[in-house]
This record gives sequence, C-alpha cells and structure tokens, in this order.
Amino acid sequence: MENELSIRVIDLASKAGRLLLESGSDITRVEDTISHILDAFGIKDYDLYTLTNGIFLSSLNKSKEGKHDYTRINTIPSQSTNLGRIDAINTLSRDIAAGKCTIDEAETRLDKIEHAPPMKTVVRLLATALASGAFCIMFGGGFIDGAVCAVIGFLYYFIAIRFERTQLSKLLTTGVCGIIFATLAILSYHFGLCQNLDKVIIGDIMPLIPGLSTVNAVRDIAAGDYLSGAVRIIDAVVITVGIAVGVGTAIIVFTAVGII
Amino acid sequence: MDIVSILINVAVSFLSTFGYCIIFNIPKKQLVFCGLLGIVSWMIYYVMTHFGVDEVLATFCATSAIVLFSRLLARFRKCPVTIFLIPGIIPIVPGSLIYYTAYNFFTGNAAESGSYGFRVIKIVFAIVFAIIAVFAIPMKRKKKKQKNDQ
Repeated sequence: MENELSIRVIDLASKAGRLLLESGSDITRVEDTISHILDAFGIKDYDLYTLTNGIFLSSLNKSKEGKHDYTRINTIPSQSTNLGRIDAINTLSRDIAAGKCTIDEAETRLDKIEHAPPMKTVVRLLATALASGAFCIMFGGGFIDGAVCAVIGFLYYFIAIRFERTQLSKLLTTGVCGIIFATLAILSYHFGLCQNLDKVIIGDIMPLIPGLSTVNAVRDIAAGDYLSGAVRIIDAVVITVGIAVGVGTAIIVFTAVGII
Repeated sequence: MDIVSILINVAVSFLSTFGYCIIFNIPKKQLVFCGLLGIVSWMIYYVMTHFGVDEVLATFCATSAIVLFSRLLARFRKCPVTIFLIPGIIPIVPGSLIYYTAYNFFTGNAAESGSYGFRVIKIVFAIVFAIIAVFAIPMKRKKKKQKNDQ
C-alpha cells in the first residue's frame, strides 16, 4: 500500500474517532468505527488505545519504499452532547465498511459533519422550556406550575448556553445554573405565581441531569473499559453535586432571609 | 387512576422526552420514536408504582423494556443505540429524589436526606443492572455483517 494513502486513512479514522468522543460516544463505538474504517481501506497492522479524553492510534505500513511508522494522538479536552453527529458518523462508517465510499468522498463527508451548523439557540431554549414544563407536570405539578417552570427553563438555559462556550469547571457552571433557577423558582413561589415550589425546581433540574454520562459509564464498565467508565462516573457525580450545591445555596439564603 | 390522568401522563411524558431530544440534537427522523420510548418507560413505571409495586422493581422493568426497544429500533432504523437509549431512560431517572436529598441535606434534616439518598442509589443500581442485563442478551447480526467479520 502506498504510504501517502495509508497516512490519509489513519488521519481520517482518528478524526472520526475524535468527533465521536467529542459528541459523547462510548468507547466501544469509537474503537469499532476506527477499526471498520481501517479494515475497509486495507490497513491491517495497527494498534489502537482509546480513553474518554484521548485516542492513540499507530500503524506500520510496509511498501516498496520500506517500512513506515505512523502515529496519531488525539486529545479530547472537552465534551458536549451531540447525538446527531454520532448518528451521521455511524452512517458514514457503515458506508465505508460496505465499500460505497472512496477516501476522497469520506474526507469530504467527514468535513461536512464536522462543520455542520450548530442548532439555533432559540430552538434549544424552546426545547428546554418544553422539556422542563412537561417534566414538572409529570412529577406531580399543576399546569400553572408547568408554565412557570417552562419560563424559568427558558431563562436559565440561556445562561447555561453561554457557559458552554467558556472553559470554566463543570462544578462551577452547573452550580451557578442551580442557583439561578432555584432563585427564580423561589421568587415566583413567593409572589404567588406557582403552588408547588419543589415540583418547579425538579422540572428545571431534569434537563441538566447527566443521563448521557451515566449510560456511557455503565456501558464502558460493562465492556471492560474501567478507566473510561470511572471518568464518566466522576463526571456524572460532579454535575449532580453541582446542581445540588447550587439549589441548596439558594434554599439556604432564602430560608435565612425568611422568604420560604 | 382515571382516564384523564393517564392521558395527561402520556402527553407529558411524550413532550418532555421530545424536548430533551431536541436539546441533544437527535436527528429529526428519530424524534417521534424517542418520544414514544419516553411514553413507554414512564407509563410502565407509573402504572407499576400506582399498583403498589416497589419503585426499584418498577425502574428495573421500565429500563429493561427501554433497552430492549432501543436495541430493536437501532436495528430497524439503522442508528446508534444511544440515540434511543438516553431519551427513553430520562423520565425514570430519579430527578425528584435527587432534589429532595439535596433539599433535606441543606435544611438540616440528615435522616430524611439519608433516606432519600439511599433510594436514589437503589434506583440508579436498578437502572445500571437493567442496562447491563439486557445488553448481554445476544441478538443475531445481519448476514452481510457476519461475512465482513469473517
């Protein structure tokens, strides 16, 4: 195999893996995708090691010009949840494995996936409002509580999206989010806008719950990737503690003031 | 349990899961299926706890059903299983118990807080074991893929 081609394939595979991890995929899927791409383009002699925040991929290519080592290390410092991207890369990897895709096409498609425009902020805010309001009613709140909860969800998620772009600690950002929505809920309760304070706060907690981290932790540990699973568990615990501390701070302050 | 409360619960579990899916950018084609999974998981949990079944067992059954349906859907819709699994599980994640744990913790009711925290841990374990158990059930792979593997 030509050396240049093998380098391109390795770059493609490791980029696909990096995008998957950035979007919140589990380790098994990343390793499967990378090895499917490498197998499809005929690279056999390779080693792959994946962690939650890093991919190590090296290959040995024998051609007429001699032996060539090639290694790629990808660091994934921050992760967000983008399940649509995981789906797109999954489709791409299926097509590559089925031989429907040349290396040029694959590179273009992967670029397209990487630079796909992010969702509009308004859509995300409305979705959060819908989810929070519905969760509030689901956990036993009334319709008025649900409406108040939806408005609060809309407002605080606006700030949560701003935080996503910064590199601040997750513990801090979720804590601040917790303080903000608990404060808004307590104030609306104080002024008689809603009847069940607890249901409103629960409805606003739900969209922040680290569901993806928990599920990935379980699947990583079940697959034997203990290190990555442990990192995910810590992630889930940190987020949960952040929410609890934020809500708790607001409750302590307003109890001291005498509002609740 | 009257018909109105059932209808409200069905509608609300669909809407909450639907909204949650949009936040996490799930492809538009799959959104309705994710919402339906939300209904399935919440209604199993709701009906079982209503008839006095222990919440841990109810969570286990609901999660098992969701993992099974997610795997089937992933097969037929040709999608990663995560896309269906996360939204399906969200309604039965113990968000309310986490709140009561934190609330009682910060208002000084140590015993109450401990008992809520204990329930959270039990439910999370039920979810974990349901996921592991149902993923361990082997499903036949497609013939094409088996050829590739060989």
